[in-house]
Amino acid sequence: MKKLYLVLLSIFLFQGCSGLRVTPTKLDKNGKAVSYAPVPVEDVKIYSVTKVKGDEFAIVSLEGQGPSVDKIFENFRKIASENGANYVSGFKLKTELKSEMVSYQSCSGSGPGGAGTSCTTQIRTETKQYYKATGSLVRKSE
Amino acid sequence: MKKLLAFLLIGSFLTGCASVSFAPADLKKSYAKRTGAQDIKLYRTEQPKGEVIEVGTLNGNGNPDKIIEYFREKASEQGGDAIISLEPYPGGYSATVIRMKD
Repeated sequence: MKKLYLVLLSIFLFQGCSGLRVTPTKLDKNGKAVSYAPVPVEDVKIYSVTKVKGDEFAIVSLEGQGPSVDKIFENFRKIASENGANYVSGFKLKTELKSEMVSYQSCSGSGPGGAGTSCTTQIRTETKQYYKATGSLVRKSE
Repeated sequence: MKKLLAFLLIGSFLTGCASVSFAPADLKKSYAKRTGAQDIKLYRTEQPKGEVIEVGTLNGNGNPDKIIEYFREKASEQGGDAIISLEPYPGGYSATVIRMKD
């Protein structure tokens, strides 16, 4: 049992925190974050090197496990669309392979009330891909 | 049998496999192929002179030589002329496909 806790703890430490963060970078006269009406997802353009002249109002950071760049773009388009940005500029993607210890428990045999059941825990190392994508939300009138 | 399959999978990954994905910058635009895969130029810190259109982003994992080969093929298929901002990461690369403005 102690082993299992150790494995779960190490997996947690290896994974770290993941998720989405939208940080407003522009405030209005009242000190509130500038917001725009949503735009259709298909109108959102995502650029890495092309400079976009418009109103840059937030930074997006998205971390997670596994998906390919088209899935990451899909998520970015959704976030930009909901926040009213028709452009994402300065898109950067970093991917990393990490080794994780994963435990598997298998049990065999069963008697009345679970008597006679024996369980074994195997610990394996698995390689998983993680990504971190960042970009700026820009509203540009067209 | 399962062990054998696992060995074959791991072996093929280590010796030559790579997975590459592409995402377009603009969902409403597509470009006709005009540069062959072997003529796609790679740039890491520079980019070709002249105005360019950003076609999309590439990401690949696995064997580095294979990733570059697949990047070229993908860039050519998507109507790109060159690959810029080629960034190596542990286990892979990311890059941007561009097309020269006519």
